[in-house]
Amino acid sequence: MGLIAKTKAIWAGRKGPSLLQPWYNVAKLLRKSEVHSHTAGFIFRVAPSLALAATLMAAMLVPFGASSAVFSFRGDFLIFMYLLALSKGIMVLAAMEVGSSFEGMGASREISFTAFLEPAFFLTIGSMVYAGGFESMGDLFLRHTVVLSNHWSVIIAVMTSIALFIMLLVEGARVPFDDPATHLELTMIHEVMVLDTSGVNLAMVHYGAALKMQIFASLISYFLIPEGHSPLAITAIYLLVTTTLAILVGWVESLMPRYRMNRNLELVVIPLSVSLLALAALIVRNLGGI
Amino acid sequence: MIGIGYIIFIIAILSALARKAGLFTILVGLASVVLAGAYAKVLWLGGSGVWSLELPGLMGSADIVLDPLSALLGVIFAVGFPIGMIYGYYYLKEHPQLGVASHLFFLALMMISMHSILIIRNSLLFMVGWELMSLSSFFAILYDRDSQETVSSAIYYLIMMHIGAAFLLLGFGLIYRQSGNFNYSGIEFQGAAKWLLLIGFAFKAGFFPFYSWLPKAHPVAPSHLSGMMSGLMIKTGVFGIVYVLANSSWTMVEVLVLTGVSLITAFNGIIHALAESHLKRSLAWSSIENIGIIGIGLSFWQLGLISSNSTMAALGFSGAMLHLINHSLFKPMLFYLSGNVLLATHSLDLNTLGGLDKRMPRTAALFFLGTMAISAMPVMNGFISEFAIFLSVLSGFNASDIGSTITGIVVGAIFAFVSALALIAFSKAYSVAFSGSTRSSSADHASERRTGLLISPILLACLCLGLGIFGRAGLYLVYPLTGLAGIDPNAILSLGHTLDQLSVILLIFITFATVVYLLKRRLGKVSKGPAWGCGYHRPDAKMQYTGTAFIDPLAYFLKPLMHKSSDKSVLTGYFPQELSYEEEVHDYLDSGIFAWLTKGLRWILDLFDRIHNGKINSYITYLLGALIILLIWVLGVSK
Repeated sequence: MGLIAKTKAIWAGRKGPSLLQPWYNVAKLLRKSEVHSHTAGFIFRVAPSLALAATLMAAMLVPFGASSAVFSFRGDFLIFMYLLALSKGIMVLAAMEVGSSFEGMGASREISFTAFLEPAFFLTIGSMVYAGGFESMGDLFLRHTVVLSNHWSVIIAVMTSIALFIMLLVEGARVPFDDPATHLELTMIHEVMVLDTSGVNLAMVHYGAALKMQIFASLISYFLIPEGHSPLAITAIYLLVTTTLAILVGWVESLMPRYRMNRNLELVVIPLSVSLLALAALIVRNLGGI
Repeated sequence: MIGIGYIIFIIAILSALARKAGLFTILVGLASVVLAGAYAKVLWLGGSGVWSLELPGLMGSADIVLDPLSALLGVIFAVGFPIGMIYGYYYLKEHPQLGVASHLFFLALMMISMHSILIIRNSLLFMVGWELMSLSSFFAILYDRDSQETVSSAIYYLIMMHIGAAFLLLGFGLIYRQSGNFNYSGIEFQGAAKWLLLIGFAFKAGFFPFYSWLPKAHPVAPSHLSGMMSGLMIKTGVFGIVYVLANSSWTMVEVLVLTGVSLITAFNGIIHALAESHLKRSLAWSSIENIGIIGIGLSFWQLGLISSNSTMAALGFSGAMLHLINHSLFKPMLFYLSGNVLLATHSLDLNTLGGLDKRMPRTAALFFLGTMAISAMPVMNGFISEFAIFLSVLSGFNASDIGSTITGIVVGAIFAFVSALALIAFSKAYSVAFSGSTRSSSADHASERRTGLLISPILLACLCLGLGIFGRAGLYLVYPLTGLAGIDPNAILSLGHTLDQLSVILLIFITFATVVYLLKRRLGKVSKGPAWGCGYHRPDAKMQYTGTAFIDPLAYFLKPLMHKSSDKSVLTGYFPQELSYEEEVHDYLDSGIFAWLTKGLRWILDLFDRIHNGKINSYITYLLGALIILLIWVLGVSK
């Protein structure tokens, strides 16, 4: 997160905040007290904790290098997908609880994205299952190797990475789908949803959002890391890929304007179609190529 | 043992006629316990009961078979009925009307007939039971018979059920011609007969394109009945479909047709649930979606059997059965809770509700759990069954079989889309009805009614939560069915193993969330303040997001699939006084194909109308003409 802001600032010719700024923000918010809206009910109180716990659990399912994830079993990607959906759904309910029109707007936009992201993630995983067999997420990502000499393999790797990268942008609420830094509530999605969240709750929301981006970045990097390297090499590649991704996000943010809100959903379909393409490429490869 | 159960039910009818609702509820509970014992014996101690019943006259003897499939459905009914009646007891107290006696009488008949069609394997008796079920539920719906909507919807329901019954009758007739016997246990269904039976059962279950009665009949029935109909009665249709599927063989193309139908059912159901702003109608649409999901599981079961992929078959079948169980728990719960909302506010239109979570906190909390269950969020039970079906779809993704891979891609993508839409539809329903501030004065004065009204939802919520965390528990019900469904028991055992790991994760998740929440409670002080209005100081309940606005981004996308009509009055003059806007989403089946069919039928019947002119002399002329034609025909034939 910090790196993204830095990249953006450098690109804009400024010096930019410190790399640890997001941590400072969280630490500051932890010390603040909370203000709840009069209309807020019980969901509003528990939602940030639940959402954070769900995201953390999802993070535990992400494979780590050569060793598998903290928890790993056949079909664990489904619970991963649903935990992320849960964290999103509960935040949406909390936002609607306040009953302000801004938050309703954000909630409505945010949850509409899930409708297209879920099939996209399912298909991305599906393409890996197709290639690597019906296994756990860790095995799937681990087994995938990119053979640079085989053009099919490269095409598939690139397409899957693109699909995951766009999911990262959407889930992490970044430009071009959402702009966390605008000054008008009408133009935000994720940030406007948490308008009335404050103090510790807000800290949890920010931390959860950053964690989500980290999860997707890790998925991409493990996807690209080939099998059978030493732990040191894997860590190095991992750091390299995540750093590149962060810089990439910042770069995208500086170069692209946010899309128009009502066109946004059409663009969220992109990962869906890209993952379909990847699957098609896989099938074609298996049938012997064109 | 089964006999004792039925006898208690018949005693319950007597108490119904004496208007003793409390005694009736107790007797229903007692009968269910006895029957559940009989079913449990079959499920866990093995073996199946086979009896033969002598029928009077030329009908011969009827087979009565209690196999694991009947027992599974029977257990579902035996759990669902008493819980439904506990709710019904308090609901009827809160909402008294004339004719409690007849209402209870028909409820008892409905329960008896539903239990009995599970074990009857004789087409004559089966049709009697089936008709009894349709008729008794029709009369039970008519509890609020003063309202025009109730009457017309109930008649619609009755007609649809009889069209379905006609298909069943045809199917059974064909089977009788093939086998020369009314008993059909152990007979393999073939040819047109299996399709006719499937269509007949699809009417009851609510598959595309026969589902249009659900969103009409469920909302008008009294809440306990709509819960029981939606959660339990449509399962008799699914029971029939599973029975037909298990006792016949299918080709690839036929199964793909079934898959397509299930997909359309699920998709249509959910987009209408999304667009609907009437709470109970939205729930009824979501029943259609869930039936579609069960259908997807069943078609992957058949697909797996055909392509000899035992994992896919086992996962598909157990997913479908688990979803059957789960849906029979969370759907009645949501219907009962919406009954509470109806009693408290006298309205189910989402746009007049709002802010109920401060006024009815317990109902709101339970509804929240129901929302989580129905949108298949982890921790609740809906997730377990969708998980199994997703796994079944994924197990078809392999390099050797391109057919099932492509089916899997299409089904998986649409299924994931549908389950995301379910989350949206129910977060909309919950947040518009229970969150924010109130939208009308009746919602403003709402308060929690009798605590008795919460007993049944709490019981169901506990069951949902239990089956959600310990997913394996549901498998104990499904496991005895492996022989009947022709699937590999080992695949189910390995699913159980996966579900064990899942429960570990979910338990950790729950502890985690609790710890985080408690820590947070210690950390910060909380004060109250108004919501952020972006500088606007007088926020109003009308400014909240409505249900229609909430789904607008998606509605824009799904426009071609939602048949919408709107009516608005344009602003006129310099000082416009009135502005109205009405919008309605129609089902294209109901207002399209069916309307067209009825029109055609009417036209044909109108032709006869002209003959029917009421003049005696013209009738005599018809008679004379008919006589002459007959005479010519007879003479011509005899030559």
